[in-house]
Amino acid sequence: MKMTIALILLTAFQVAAWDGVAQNVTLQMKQAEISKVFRAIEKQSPYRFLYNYDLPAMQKKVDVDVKNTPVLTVLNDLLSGSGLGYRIMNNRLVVIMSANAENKADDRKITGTIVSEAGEALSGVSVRIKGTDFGTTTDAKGKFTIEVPENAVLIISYVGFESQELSVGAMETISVKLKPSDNQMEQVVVVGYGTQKKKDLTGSVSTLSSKDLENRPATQFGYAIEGKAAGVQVIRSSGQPQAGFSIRIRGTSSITAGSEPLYIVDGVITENIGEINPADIENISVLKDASSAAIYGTRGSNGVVIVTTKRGKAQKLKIGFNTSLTLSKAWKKMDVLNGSQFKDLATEMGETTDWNKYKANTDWQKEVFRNALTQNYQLSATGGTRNTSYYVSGSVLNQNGIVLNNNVKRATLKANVDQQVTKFLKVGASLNYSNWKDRDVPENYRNGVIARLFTTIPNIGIRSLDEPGMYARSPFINDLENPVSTVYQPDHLFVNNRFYGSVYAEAELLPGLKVKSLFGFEQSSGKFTSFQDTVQTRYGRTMHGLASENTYKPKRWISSNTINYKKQIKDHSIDVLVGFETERAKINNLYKSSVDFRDAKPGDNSVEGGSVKSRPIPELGTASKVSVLGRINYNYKDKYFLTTNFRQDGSGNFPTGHKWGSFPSFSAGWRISQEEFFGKSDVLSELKIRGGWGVVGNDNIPGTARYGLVDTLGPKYLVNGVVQTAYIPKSFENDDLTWEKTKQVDVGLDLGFFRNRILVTMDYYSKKTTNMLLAVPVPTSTGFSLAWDNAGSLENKGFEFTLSSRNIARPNFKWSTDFNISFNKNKVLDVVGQQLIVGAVNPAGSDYNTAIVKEGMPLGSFYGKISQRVDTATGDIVFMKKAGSTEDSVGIIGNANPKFTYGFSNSITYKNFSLDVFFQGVSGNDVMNATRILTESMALPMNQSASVLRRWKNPGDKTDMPRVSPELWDNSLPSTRYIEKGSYLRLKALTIGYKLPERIISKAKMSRCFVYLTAENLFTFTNYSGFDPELSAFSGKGNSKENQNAAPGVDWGTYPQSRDFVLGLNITF
Amino acid sequence: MKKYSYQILTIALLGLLPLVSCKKFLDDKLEGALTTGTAYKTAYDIEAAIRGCYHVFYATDYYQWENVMLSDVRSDNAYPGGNNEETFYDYDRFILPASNTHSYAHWKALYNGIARCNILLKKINEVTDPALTTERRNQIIGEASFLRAFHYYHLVKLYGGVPLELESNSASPDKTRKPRSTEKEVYDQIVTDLETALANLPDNYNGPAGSSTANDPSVNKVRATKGSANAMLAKVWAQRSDRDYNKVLQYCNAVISSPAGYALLANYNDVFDGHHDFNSESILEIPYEEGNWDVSCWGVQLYLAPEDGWQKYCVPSKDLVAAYDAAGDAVRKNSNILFMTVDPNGDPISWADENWNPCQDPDVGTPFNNKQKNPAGWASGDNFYLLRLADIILLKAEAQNETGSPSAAATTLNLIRNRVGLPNVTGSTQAQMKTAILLERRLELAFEAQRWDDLVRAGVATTVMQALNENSYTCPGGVQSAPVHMDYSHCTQQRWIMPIPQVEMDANPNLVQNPGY
Repeated sequence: MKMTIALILLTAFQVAAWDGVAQNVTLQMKQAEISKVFRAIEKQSPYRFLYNYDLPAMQKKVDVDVKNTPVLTVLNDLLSGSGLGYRIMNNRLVVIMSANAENKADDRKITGTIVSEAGEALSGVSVRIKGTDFGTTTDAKGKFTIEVPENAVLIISYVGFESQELSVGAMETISVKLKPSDNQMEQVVVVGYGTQKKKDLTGSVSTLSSKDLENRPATQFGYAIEGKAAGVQVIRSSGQPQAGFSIRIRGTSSITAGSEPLYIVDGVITENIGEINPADIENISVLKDASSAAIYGTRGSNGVVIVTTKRGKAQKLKIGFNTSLTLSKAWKKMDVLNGSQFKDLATEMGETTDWNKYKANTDWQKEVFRNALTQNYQLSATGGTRNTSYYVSGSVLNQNGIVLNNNVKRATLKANVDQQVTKFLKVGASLNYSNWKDRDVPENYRNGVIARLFTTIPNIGIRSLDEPGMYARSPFINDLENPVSTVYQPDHLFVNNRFYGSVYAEAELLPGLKVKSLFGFEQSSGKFTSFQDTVQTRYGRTMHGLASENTYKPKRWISSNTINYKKQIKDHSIDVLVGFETERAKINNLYKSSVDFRDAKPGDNSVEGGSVKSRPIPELGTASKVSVLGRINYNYKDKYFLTTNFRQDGSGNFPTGHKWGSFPSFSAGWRISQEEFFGKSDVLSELKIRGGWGVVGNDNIPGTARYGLVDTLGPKYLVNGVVQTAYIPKSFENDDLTWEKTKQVDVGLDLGFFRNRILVTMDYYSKKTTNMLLAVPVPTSTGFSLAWDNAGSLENKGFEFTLSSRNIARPNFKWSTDFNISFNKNKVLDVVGQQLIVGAVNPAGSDYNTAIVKEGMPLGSFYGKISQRVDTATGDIVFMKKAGSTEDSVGIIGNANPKFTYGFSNSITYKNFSLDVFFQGVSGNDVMNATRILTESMALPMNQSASVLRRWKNPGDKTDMPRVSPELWDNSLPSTRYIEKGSYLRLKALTIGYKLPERIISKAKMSRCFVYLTAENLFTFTNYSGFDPELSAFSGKGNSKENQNAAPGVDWGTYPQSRDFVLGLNITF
Repeated sequence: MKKYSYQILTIALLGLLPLVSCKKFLDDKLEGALTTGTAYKTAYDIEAAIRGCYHVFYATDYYQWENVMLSDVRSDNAYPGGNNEETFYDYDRFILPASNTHSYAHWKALYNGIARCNILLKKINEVTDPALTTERRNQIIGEASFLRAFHYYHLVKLYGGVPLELESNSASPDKTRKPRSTEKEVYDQIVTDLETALANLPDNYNGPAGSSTANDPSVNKVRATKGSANAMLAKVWAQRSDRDYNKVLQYCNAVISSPAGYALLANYNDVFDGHHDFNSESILEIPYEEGNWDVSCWGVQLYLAPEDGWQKYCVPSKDLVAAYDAAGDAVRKNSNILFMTVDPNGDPISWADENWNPCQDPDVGTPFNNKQKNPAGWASGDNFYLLRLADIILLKAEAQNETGSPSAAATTLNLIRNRVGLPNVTGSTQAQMKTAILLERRLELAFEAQRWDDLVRAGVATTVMQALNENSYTCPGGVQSAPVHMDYSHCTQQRWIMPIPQVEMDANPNLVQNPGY
C-alpha cells in the first residue's frame, strides 16, 4: 500500500521539477557535431530541437564548456556565426534553420480541412509536425490551424485511417482526404486500463469492432463473438432467448470455482452482461493470455472481456435509428411415435386403458413450437463540440422464443457524456438503465417442455376431456401433464431493473502524464416469481396452488484510480501505469414460497396469497477487493517491446493471512520486420514474434466457502410443545483458503503480407491451474461431503490461428475474409486422488451421472457403460464386462471437448450491395444425447422416439434397439449407446444488404440508409441426431459450478437453437 | 513548483482516499449466519445446538420414513410399492448396488447426525457462560452421547463395522479417511456412549415449569432420558453378535421399573391414533406438529393413499396380512393396515397395484401402511416412536427366554397379547417361545422399523425370506396374468448388511467393501 503513495508522490515531484529547475544546462563537449550538442541539451532540459540534418552547418564540429548556464545563452553562443538561426515555438520546441532563411521564411500559420473519402468532416484527427511532439487536432468541422516552420512535413493520423505525410511547401491551406486504413497493425486495441496499437502488443488479444457487430442484429453480444475470435468458445446452453451464453477462453481452467471470464464494461466489472444492448458497443477486446490479463490479476485466470461502449465525438449531431424484425422457427423436427404406434408400444408393455377415450393424434411439436416474431428498435444520438461530446441511446427489444409463452422484453437507456473542463481536465459519465422482463419455460430435465414434447403420448389432446379446467394427462403416468401445460404452469416471470454506470475525471497534468479517477456502480432489483394454480394441473390441485418468489438486490461499486505516464525519448518509448482499486459487491437475495391458495383473492398469484407460507430464506453477502496494479510498456525503435504487469490483490473471500495474492507477468515482442536487415518487403510486410509469461488468479467461490457455517435460522425442534430454534453445523471451515492460480505461457507470431492487407496471428499457449479452489469430496463419515480446499491442478494447452485478409479494397468493390481456428487440450492433473462424478440426469427418480472428473483425463469426460449390441435372444443390451467379472465395466466413454473450433466469414461490398457469409463450427467432440434415455428406454409408458419402431420383439431379431422393458432401466443407463458425434458446421449468418444511394437519401436528410436481410442458422451440417448440436444442458448459470465446468455437451431435453430470418433497417441522419 | 502544487494534492488525495483502513475494508463479515467459531459461546447457543442434534429426526429421509422402508420392506412385512422404483425394489430383493442413492443418503444422514453430536461434545467444553449450570451441562453431554450412540447403532446394523468418527472437525485427508472399525468396536463405542448417557441423564427433566427442560411429558418424551439410555442398552446388548441377554434383562427391567413410570396404554389403537402424544408407553418419540413445515413429517404421505394419485410405498405384504389373520389379531391388523378402494376424494385409486389389485378392480381393496394415520398434506403431526415400552417388554420376554426362563417369558409376552384381546401364549419350550416372541414382535411392531432387526437377531432372515411365497401380477388386456414369483434368493447372510455406498468408497480409499458386494 505504502509503495503506491510513494510512487505517486515521486512521479508528481519529478514532473514539477522540470519546470522549475532545468532551464540551465551544464555541458562539456569537444569537437562535437552541433546536433550532438542539441541532444545533450534535450537530455537536461525540456527543450526539443527540430532541424534538418542535411544543412551543411549542422555537420560543423564545436567545443562547448558551460556550467549551469541558461539554455538560451548556450544556443546564442553556439549558433552565432554558424550560419544557423533558431526560433522557439510553443512547447519549448526549438526549430533550427538556416540563418539566411530566417528572414524570408517566418513560421507561418496554415489552415486545413480533413475529410473522409466520402467527404465527411473528420474531427479529432491528429496533425503533427514530423520529428516533433508538436501538433494539434481537428475540430468538429474537420478544420485545424497550425504554425509550421520551413520545409515542415505534417503527419496526419486518425484511428481507422491510413496515416499521411504531407510536405507543406508553400501551401497556406491544405485539404486532405484520408483513406480508411487497410493496415490493421495500426489499429488501436483496448487493453486493461488503456489502449495500445496492435503492432505494439506483446500479449494475446482478440478484438471486435462495432463494424463486426453492426450488420448482424445479435440480441446479446455473446452471440456476436461466437466463432469470431480464436480461443474464445461461446457456449449456448439453450435456445431460450433468456438463456444467454457462457464463454470459455482457452478452455476451462477450474472445476468447482467459476470459469466465466471477467467482464468489464467501460472500466466497471459486471456479471450481468446479457442486458447490454449490443448496438451500444463500440468494441470488444478479449484478453486471452496471462500477460495481457495479469493486470486484472484477481480474476484474470479465465480471461477478460472488455466492452467499450460508444462515446460522442466532436462532430455535428448524428441521429441513428436501427430496427429489425425477426421471424424465428424450429429448424428440425424429431420423429416420435404417432397415436397408433404408441398404442402398440403401450400394449406390448402390458399397459391397458380405455383407448376409446384416447383417440387423439396430437403432434406436440406442432402445438408447442411457433413462428416467433422479434422486434428490435434502437434510437441513438451522438455528437459534440470540441469540449463536450455525448452519445445517448434508447432501445426496445421484444423477443419471442420458438416455444409458446417464452419471451424476453428488454428496454435500455444509455447516456455517455464527456466534458473537457479545462485544458487539462476532462470529466465524463456513463449512465445506463435497463428494464428486463422474461418468461422462461422449464427445460433440461425430464419434465421440461422439450422432454415432454417427446414423451407425452399423442393420444391425448391439450385439455382434459373429463376433468374441466385441467390440462390433459396420460392415463398411464398420472402426474405428468402435456407440454403445453408445462409451458404455462407454473408460470415463471422474471423482472429486473438495473441501473449502472460510472463517472470519471481525467487530468493531463503534463504532456504524457494523465491521472484518472473512476467511480463505477451497479444496482439491480430483480424478482423471479413462479405460480401454479389450483385448477389446471394435478400437482397444483394437490397443493391447492403454489407460488414462489426470489428477489435479488445486488449492489456493487468500484473506485479505480490510475496514473499513466507516456514518454517518448528519442527511440525509447515508455508507458507507465500505476493504479489503485477498491471494490465492494453485495448480494441480498430472498426466497419465499407458499402453498394453498384456496382462500386467496381471485387473481392473487403472489407468494403472499398462499395461506401456508414457508420460512423466507435470505442470502446476504459482501465481497470486497483491494488492488494495486502497475504496468510498464517499453519499446525501442518500434522494434523491441517489453511489457511487465504487476497486480497485488486482496480478497475478502479469504481468511486473514491469506487474503493477498501477487500476480506478475512479463512479455516481450520483436518486430523483425522493422530491422534493417529485414529490408522492405511488400510481400512480407510485418513479422513479429511475441512471448509472455504470467500468473493470474481466481477467487470466484461463494463468500461463505471458508467458513464452518452453522445454520441458526432453519432448524427447529419441538420441545414442550414449542417450536424452538436449533443450531446445526453445515460445513467445514478452512482457515487457509486462498487464491487459485493459473500460470500461462504464450508464444505468438504476427505476420502481415502485402502491406498488411493480409494478417496472420498464431499463438501457442500452455496454462496450468494449481492450488485449485476445489470443493473436495471428503468421506461423509466426517458428517460433511465436501470441503473447500486449495488442492489439485489441471492444464490447458492449445494453438490458435487467425487470418484476416482484405482481398480486394477498391472503393466500389471490397472483399474481406476472416478465418480463425483454435485447438485446445484440457487435462486434469490432480484431484487429490478422487473422482468427481457429475452431470446427473434423472429419468425416473434415480440420478445417473454422465460425466466424470478423473486424473489424467480431460474435464468433460463422459462416464458410463460400454454398450456392445442387442442380444438377439433376450432383446437386452449387452454391456462390456469388467475383465474376468460378470459386472459391467463402467468408465470414460467420450470426450465433450472439440478437437478444434473454427469460424469463417466473408464480407463483400459491391457498390451499394453487401454480402456477409459467416460459418462457424466445432469438430471432434462427443455429445451425450441423454434425451434418448427418455425417448428410447421403453421403460415407462411414455411416448418414444420413432426409432423404437425397430425395437427387438422376438428372439432372433437383429437390431440395435432393445426390447420394451417396463420399469427396468438396465438397458438405458448412460452408456456408449447415447454417445454421438457432436461436430457441426453451421451457416450461422448470411446477410444481404443494400445501402441506399446518397442522392436519394440526402433528400430525406439522411447520411446513411442501410437495409438488410439476414438468415441465421440457415444450414447446419451435422450427424447429430438430436434437435440441435449446439447444446449444453448444464452450462446455464443456474447449474452447479462443477456441472458447468465438468459436464458440458449433455443433451437433456435441451431447447434447440432457432432458425431466424431478420429484416433490418439502419438509418443515420 | 507552485503551479502544480494543487495538482499534486489532487493526486495524493485520489491515491489516499481509498486507502482508508484497507485492512478493515477486506474484512468481509459473514451476514446472516454464524460459524463454528462463533456459534457456541453461551448457554443459549448450547441449548440450541443440542436441539440441532435432535433436529436430524426431521431433516433426513432416514428418520422421516426410510428407516421403516429399510426394515419392513427388506423383511417379509411389506412390498416396496411406489411403482417399484428401482432404488427401493433393489432393497426388497437384496440386489442393492453400492451405488444406490438412498443407501448413500442414509449413510450421510446418520453420520451428519453424529457430526452434530461430535461438534457439540467438543464445543461444550469451551463454554464458560455461567448460565450453563453443571447439571444442565452434564445432561447435554448425556443427550449428545445418547444420540451419537443411537445413530451408530443404526449404522452398524445397516453396514456392519463402520469408521468411528468422534471428532468431525478436520477436513484433512489423513484424519478423515478413517478405515472401518469392526462391528464389535462400534458396539463398544455405542455402549461407552450409552453408559455416559446413563450416568448423566435424568429420569425426568426438572427444569422450571414451561421451560424446555420442564418435568413434562412433552419434554421427557422428546429428550433422551435414563429410560432411553436403558432401553437402548437393552436393544444394543440383544442385537450385537456377542450378545449378553443377562444385560438385556437388566436394562429392560431398569426401563420397566423406571421412576419415569412407563406403562402400556390400555388400548393399542390409542397408541397410534395421533391423538395420544407423549403417552406413558412412549420412551422416546419424534415430536411432529401438523401443518408446520419446520417440524412435521412428510414421510407419512408416502405410505397412505391421499389425493395426489401417486402409487404409495411400503405396501403391506400378503404374508403379513396372513400372519394377522392366522393369529386372529384383528385389533392390530386394523390399526396397522388400511384397506381402501377409493382415495380420500372418493375417486378410485388410480394405479394398478401389482400385488393386490393388478387390474384395478374397483371392489378389491389395496392395503396401506397405516401406522401413522394423518398425512395432512405432507405435513403430518403424528409422532413416531423411536423407543416404545411394548418393544422393551417383548425384549424382556426374549431375554427371559434366552436366559432359560420360557415360562417367565410367557407371562411377560401375555402382557402384550392380552392388551389386544389375544389369549395367553401356548407352548412352553424355549424354541416355541422364541418363535412366539418373534411373531408377537412382528404383529406388535409392524412398520416401526423393527422387523428386519428381529429376523437378523433370531438368525432366520435368510430362511424366512427365501421361504416366502409372494407373487406379483400384470394385467395384459384387462386380464390378471399368471403369478410371477417374487425372487428372494439373493437374501444370503452376506446380504443381511448393505454395501458401503460407492460414493463413500470413492471418497475414502481406506474403506474395504463388505464381502459379496
